[in-house]
Amino acid sequence: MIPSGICPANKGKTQTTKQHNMAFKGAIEIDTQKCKGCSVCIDNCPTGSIQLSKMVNSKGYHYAEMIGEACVGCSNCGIVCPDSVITVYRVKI
Amino acid sequence: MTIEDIKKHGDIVYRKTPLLTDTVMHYCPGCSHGTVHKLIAEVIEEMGIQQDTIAISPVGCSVFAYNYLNVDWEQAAHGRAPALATATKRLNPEKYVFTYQGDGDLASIGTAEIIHACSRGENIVVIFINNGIYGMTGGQMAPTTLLGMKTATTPYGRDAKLNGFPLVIAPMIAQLDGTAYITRQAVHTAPAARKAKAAIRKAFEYSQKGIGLSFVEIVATCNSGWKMSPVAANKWMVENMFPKYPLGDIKDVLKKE
Ligand SMILES: Cc1ncc(C[n+]2csc(CCOP(=O)(O)OP(=O)(O)O)c2C)c(N)n1
Ligand code: SF4
Ligand code: SF4
Ligand code: SF4
Ligand SMILES: [Mg+2]
Repeated sequence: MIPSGICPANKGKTQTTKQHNMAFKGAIEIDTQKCKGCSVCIDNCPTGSIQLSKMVNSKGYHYAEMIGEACVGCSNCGIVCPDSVITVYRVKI
Repeated sequence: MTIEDIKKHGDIVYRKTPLLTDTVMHYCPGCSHGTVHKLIAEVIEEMGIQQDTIAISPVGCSVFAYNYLNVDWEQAAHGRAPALATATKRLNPEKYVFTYQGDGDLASIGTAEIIHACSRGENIVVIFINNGIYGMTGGQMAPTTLLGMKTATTPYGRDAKLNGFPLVIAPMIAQLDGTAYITRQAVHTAPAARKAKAAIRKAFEYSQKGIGLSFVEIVATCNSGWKMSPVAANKWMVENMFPKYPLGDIKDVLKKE
């Protein structure tokens, strides 16, 4: 079973970008049709890897999208997303 | 390694729990209700108790929680969830029974029900979403509304002389011998949400020990009712709600000193 919500690397403790940059690279996938553009994920991302798209989805929301390559796969965005539309991937490097 | 490679070859470290249905939640963007639903669903998934959980939904914005969290549900009349949970748990003592209630539901019309369920020491879990307002009906003052806070029915801010003082439920019920675990949490940041999840899990575990009622208050936002953006509402909550409703455990009968 996937340990939902807990970062396996640091057992759920608050993480710093620095620690993570050394060991992990991450990526996120957003269900843009279900995203409501609330920006709570953006506010919780330690690496500035999320922004609101200029485009809107079929509900008219400016949905969240991943930017750049700084994501460390910490899952912060996933756990705070009220609509649970984010999947987080991670590789050890 | 490209982003596509990471998605292809990396581990999935977070994904929507299958305990949540595919139905799009009706909540406003950024509403705390969705986050709390998700945390409860993750706890039920991780404990492997989907078949053994019965939930009671309230009247309030979260009335439709039964459409989102895939367990058995009952829906109570306004404020009466603890009474329904009492009957449900007594008839099915092996089941995990929890209520999910807003502050209008629990601290206003349902005050008698929650106090007596606590006093009787019912072995249930109560999840209490304190957003300081009646969200569903358009943002009227709740008993929990802060002094000075503007709502539809206190357009100049809540005034103690006219509207009384905020009702702080958790320490009141902590005095009752029937309560086992009382905690106050929030879900506005990832660390807070992880702590809240651990508290919810503890409450579920305690409810099977026969030691009384477990109560998890979530200090929450209603950004629509507060007339703020979701991110601004989280900030406002930290600055204004937390001083009156500080986070942390209030009672834990099993904690060894
Ligand atoms: C018996 C009864 N009285 C009043 C109402 C109107 N009503 C519906 S929801 C609500 C308050 C909900 O506020 P809260 O419990 O804080 O939930 P929120 O929407 O803020 O999550 C009220 C007064 C009702 N549905 N039934
Ligand atoms: S937290 Fe979720 S719903 Fe809100 S903007 Fe981010 S992905 Fe979209
Ligand atoms: S997992 Fe989410 S919060 Fe963490 S760095 Fe990546 S995009 Fe940001
Ligand atoms: S009115 Fe408030 S409590 Fe109801 S869904 Fe909207 S933000 Fe949430
Ligand atoms: Mg409310």
